[in-house]
Amino acid sequence: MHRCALLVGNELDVHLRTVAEQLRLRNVEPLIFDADSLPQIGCSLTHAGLTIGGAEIRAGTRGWLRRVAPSRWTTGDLVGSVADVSLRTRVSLVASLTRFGGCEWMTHVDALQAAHDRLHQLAMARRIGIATPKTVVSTDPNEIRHYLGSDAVLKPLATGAFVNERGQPHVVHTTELTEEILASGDFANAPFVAQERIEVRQHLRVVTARSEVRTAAIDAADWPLDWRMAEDAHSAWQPHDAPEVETQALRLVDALDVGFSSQDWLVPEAGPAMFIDLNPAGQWMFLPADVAEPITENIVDFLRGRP
Amino acid sequence: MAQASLFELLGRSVAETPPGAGTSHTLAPAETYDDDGLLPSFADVGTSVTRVVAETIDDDGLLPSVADLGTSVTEVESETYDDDGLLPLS
Repeated sequence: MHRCALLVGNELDVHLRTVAEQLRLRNVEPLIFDADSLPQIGCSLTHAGLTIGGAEIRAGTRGWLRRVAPSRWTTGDLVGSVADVSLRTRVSLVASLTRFGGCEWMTHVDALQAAHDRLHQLAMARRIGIATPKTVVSTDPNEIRHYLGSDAVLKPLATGAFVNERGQPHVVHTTELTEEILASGDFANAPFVAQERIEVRQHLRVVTARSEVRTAAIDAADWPLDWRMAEDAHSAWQPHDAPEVETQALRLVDALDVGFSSQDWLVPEAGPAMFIDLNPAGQWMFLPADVAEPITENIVDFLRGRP
Repeated sequence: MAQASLFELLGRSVAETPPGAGTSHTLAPAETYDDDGLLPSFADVGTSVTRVVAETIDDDGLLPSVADLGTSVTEVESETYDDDGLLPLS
């Protein structure tokens, strides 16, 4: 092994596991850690340098911040408990390691954090001339109705995953905004994003890794408003030629300063393609190999020190 | 009329929602589940701090951290409840 690459995440994640396997095939040793595994792996950060798992991490080592910690949204850790505050401390440390270790990251932690912001993404896209749906976030449903009219959709502003009072995990998908929801929903306690409803011809998943960009598509007519609700939709994606969208997608990642992105776009029945949202640590391996593999390859190339 | 949480109105049980790559959930906590523009590890792990009965609870001088960006403070009975000027945007 000649070189080390830092992978923040867990090999239970197929994306990280695949990248790690590809690195090993190329004689690059992946050093994998996250907030859960850090106590076992061990680390030290001083003014003099960073060691992880007993290995001194040289300045310029490359890394990929995939997942700081596994999701805990169904585990019910008590907020404010020792377990909770301990986890938060480790998450903070992971963030610090990525900031101060002198490493070069596929996407820097701070850019990653900013790029999560759905409203920031949309604002940035509009700023650089990319079409986006008419959007409003308001604590007042009357404002939403006034701004968007009666044909709109609703989606979570932040995470849509939660556990109800009976401890059952739930998720919120993009949903048609009805008069009933406007009348009975509490838009102040948990503001959601409301957008004009687009007559969609195709859903596009555009994935970027540095200068590499690939697109897959599914026909909207075959699937629910939010295609994630249909299990079969996940295997229905086909490689798609969309050079104009891809050019715009790369402009957007430049503006957001993210090395990787998984973007959702819509092709309307009429008018230009619209940017919907971007996940700076999203998924791509459910897409066809022609789409997924060049993205994986680009990440691996970055981590092994290729320009 | 009492207003209902949008999460309660719109949420679907995970058991009713198909698991799979690219979906926004999973039945296995260790799997990644998000594809909704958010990282669960940032958005969820950072949610913390509820009942604070005394001031100055948790700023230990670290630079703005991923964990705290998601901090959600609910019942604050005294001032100075949160840490280092972070925006709870996640």
